Amino acid sequence: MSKVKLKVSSRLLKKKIRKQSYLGPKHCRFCGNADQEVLLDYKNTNLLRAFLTERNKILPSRVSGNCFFHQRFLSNQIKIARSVALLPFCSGHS
Amino acid sequence: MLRYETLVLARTEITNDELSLLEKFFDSHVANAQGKVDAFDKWGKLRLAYQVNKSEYGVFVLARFQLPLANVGAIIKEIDSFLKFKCNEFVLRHVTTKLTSNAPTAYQRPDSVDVGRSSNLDAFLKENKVENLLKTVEDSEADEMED
Repeated sequence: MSKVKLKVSSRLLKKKIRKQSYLGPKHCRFCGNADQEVLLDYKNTNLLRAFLTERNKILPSRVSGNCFFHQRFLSNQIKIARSVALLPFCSGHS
Repeated sequence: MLRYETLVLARTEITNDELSLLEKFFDSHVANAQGKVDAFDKWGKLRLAYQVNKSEYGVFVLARFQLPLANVGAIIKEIDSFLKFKCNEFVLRHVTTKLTSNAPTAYQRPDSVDVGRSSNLDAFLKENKVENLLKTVEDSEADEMED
């Protein structure tokens, strides 16, 4: 019998390592937290600014720890706010 | 009934007549479609994140309304075209979004530039805790009253 090599993706390996480490697994701050979820809105720029980098790019969920649903929702809200000049597209406008 | 809201970014030179024109339009147009206007909030003057038509500041107005299920698309198209073509002298940008059924009536919004400014000198001194000056102002007023 020939040897069968099991392939495990590096992403899953990292996830497993993170789960076992003292930091614990990542968690989305909006999941199961109705008070915070209500605040997620394109008019609430003070909250949305926390999810922008200093160059005003959208933070990846890898960094912010959001789940897929809330990351998509949040990035859509940021894009709406940008269209009415509540949030900047990039730094160095003025 | 479906809930919608429209945020309008207008020029800072907008007059009260033009603001009342917007309010009347939402009132009449939504009432014609057998809907209801929940709120018409004037946020005041805000600093923009980037320049729009060479201006750094803008006035924001938020209208929240309910519409019946029939002809929702057509009504929102009419609102868009009104803001785009008939109000193009003072409306710079606008956006219409659908609200979820469980969305609360209260909402967070950015602070306007006008908040905290008042022409009253005493209120300003009390806010900034300049008590020495406040006493002198009161004393001088009292002296004037005596005279």
